[in-house]
Amino acid sequence: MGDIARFHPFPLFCWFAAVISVSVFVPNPVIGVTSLLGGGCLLFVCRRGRLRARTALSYVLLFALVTLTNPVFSHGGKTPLFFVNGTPVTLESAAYGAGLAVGIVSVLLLCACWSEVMSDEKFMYLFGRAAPKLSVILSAAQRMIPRFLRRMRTVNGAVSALGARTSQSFSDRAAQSMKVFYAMTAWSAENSIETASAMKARGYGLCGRTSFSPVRFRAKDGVLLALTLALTAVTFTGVGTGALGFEYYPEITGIPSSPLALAVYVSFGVLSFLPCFFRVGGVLKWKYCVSRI
Amino acid sequence: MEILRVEDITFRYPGARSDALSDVSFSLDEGEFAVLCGGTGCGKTTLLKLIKRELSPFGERRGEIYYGGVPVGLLDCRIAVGGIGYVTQDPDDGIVTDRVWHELSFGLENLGVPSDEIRRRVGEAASYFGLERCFNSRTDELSGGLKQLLCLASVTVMRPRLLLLDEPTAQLDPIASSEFTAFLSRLSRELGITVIAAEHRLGDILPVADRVILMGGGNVVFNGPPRDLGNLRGAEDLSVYGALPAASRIARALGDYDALPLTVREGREFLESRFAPEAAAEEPPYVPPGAPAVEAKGVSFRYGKNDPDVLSDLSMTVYGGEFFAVLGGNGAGKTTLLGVISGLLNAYSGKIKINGKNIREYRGASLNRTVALLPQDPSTVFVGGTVREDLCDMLTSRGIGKDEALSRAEEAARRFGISDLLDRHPYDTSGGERQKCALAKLLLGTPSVILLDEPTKGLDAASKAELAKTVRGLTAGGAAVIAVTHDVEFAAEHADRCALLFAGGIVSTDTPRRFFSENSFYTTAANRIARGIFPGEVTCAGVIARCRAAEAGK
Repeated sequence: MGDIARFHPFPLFCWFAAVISVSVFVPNPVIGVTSLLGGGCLLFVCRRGRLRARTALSYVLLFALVTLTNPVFSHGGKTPLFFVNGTPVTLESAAYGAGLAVGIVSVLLLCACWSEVMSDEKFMYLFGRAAPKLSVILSAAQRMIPRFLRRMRTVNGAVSALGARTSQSFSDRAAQSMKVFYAMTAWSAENSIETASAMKARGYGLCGRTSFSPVRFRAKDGVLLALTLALTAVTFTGVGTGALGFEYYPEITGIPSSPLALAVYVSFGVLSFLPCFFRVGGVLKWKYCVSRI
Repeated sequence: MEILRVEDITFRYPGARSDALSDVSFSLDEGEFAVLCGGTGCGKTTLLKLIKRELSPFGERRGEIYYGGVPVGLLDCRIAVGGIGYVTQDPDDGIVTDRVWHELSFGLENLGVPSDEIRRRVGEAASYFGLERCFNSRTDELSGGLKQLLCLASVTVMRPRLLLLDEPTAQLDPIASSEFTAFLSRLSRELGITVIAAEHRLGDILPVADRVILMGGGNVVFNGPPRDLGNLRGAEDLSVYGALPAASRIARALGDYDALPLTVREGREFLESRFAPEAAAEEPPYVPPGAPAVEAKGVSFRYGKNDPDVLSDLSMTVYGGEFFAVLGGNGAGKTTLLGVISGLLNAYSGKIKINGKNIREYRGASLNRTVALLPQDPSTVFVGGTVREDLCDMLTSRGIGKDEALSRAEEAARRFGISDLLDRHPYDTSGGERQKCALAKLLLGTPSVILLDEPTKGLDAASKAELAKTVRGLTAGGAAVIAVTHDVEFAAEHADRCALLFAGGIVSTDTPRRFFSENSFYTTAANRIARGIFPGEVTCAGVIARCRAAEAGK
């Protein structure tokens, strides 16, 4: 119900692209904090509430590290808080550090969400369209690499257990490992011939190849896409007109609060939490409607 | 209607001294289920590949093959690809892509079928073949049986009229193999697809086949319904004899050639109509031929901290000079057991002694000078460019000089009858030959405990007999041989003792006669046929001997 990974890859990709680019390029604290909260919330939802304490702690530590490091190295700004060995530690520099930390952590959180939601398959679907042959080659490669590694482990085990690696000397063992590697190249050459003939036998190379994917574009995907595009358009309008301008140096300016800026905050807020809304909506629907049938 | 006609096909590989196929002719009607059999190297694969145009080997060829009345060479590309399906022996060779759904759609994509139609046909095939649950899985996470089923499904989805299968069940365990055969017969019965399956294990497939085409030395020796195989005189010389179902072998040996019984039920009817029930013969108690070679006490093993036990509190003793067979279902832990004994895996509790010494006291790699393991896939033990190099490698790694290693390797090759293969790449050998080479390599290390993992997998009857002879030679020399296997017939015929591995432990150990005659599911076909008539007999040879004795007594 409302499982985020079940959305079509295209709207999901647009959503990630929009939120990540806004968080990276717009240095506005409200935007930064919204994106941080949105990313954190989404990760929590993606992992079904099983966010481990260690993971959360590592984000907090990273946040603290970036916030505290900036004032140590950067001494710009007008408002000194205190002096260490005669050099000032300024309010602006500390605030800039915090702003930077918010940006970095929110992008990291969004990347973690990306890897939860966008499987290899979805990625292939998005970029395989451009080159259908490439997508088959990538798919064959994705099958080949784990097989190669597994085979290498098996051969190493088999050679030792057969008793062909009983020498204690380091050079003998190194030579043996080299031989295993050679054997692996022979195996993969053999294997690629087999795969090529299997592909030929099933018609690979005939003209007029089509491409199939089990992924389907549903109404819900359309809603996510439309909302993403509309909200992103509002946000970019605000950014383009300079309504969100915010400076740390030489002095912290006030947080913009014009009507346009407020509209941008709201629309970016909705955008950041959009997948979470879908998820919560799905859960509520299940709880109050479907499960009562 | 005739779908396939092979007319006087003669084929010779480039550089070969003799023809691989000579004057092969036969024809098949639409919907027929044909079994192609014959010993290794009789030309089965060559024939199938010649029919499948895209896989045709290079070489000198005469004669013509017609598919639906058109010579195969002149067929339209799309008809040749989609109309004739081909399934290889090793499912890993047949699978191209990384996901099950992609594998199913691959052929249709190549044929240019529109996306919506692919969706329908792939969905239909996945549900017919029972692949819905793994539709989104990665192909390399499937079991061997499912992989082969996927290969069959992804060929069938292209709606072929003719299916060619090259020993499709050789790499499968008996349960997966009979399920696969059942699917094949369903395809032929329900969809009217014509099937030619090359096989060397005929027990499952013969009862469902319409036709048997038996090849020998590049010729068709026999072509007719399975029951008429009885009329084939002198088949005892052919390698196919050992591959026949137990019921057929017993009936043939007794000189009854008409209407050959094929199934266990028919075999029982055959025996019941001729012989009166007898009492079981007394069997002397088992006397171990030597001192304990492998002693395991309370051994437990698991792969990860939170995984279930694969072996739990397992105890067993194997004596020197004994051939010990461990049987058990899929995932019972048979391969794990060998891993633990060979030191490849470490048990977390329990004690294993090899020749009276705890395996933990063997320093470095010295354990594998005493215990050697032949893995399920023998090709994994080769690391050289030629068989000769691999054999020498085994000796030079033990500090033996190059010249002596060479002469000893050649001597071993003569003993194993693999001298012709010495200059070949190990991968350029057949399954049976490869296993012989691997065994030769293993034995150059003169281990006293030899572990064999599924040694009969993919072997034809003749290679199995040779393997049994080699094992006999080893045990006569005082070595202990432990084989884990699915092959109940092989264990019944050749092992000194059999054990059943179940729920991580050995649940029963006994001589084959007592072991199998007390089991009712996990036993040989010969035992099921003779149960209640000649109790205690577990092999075809045993049943035949009792029949002959009873006839003489009359």
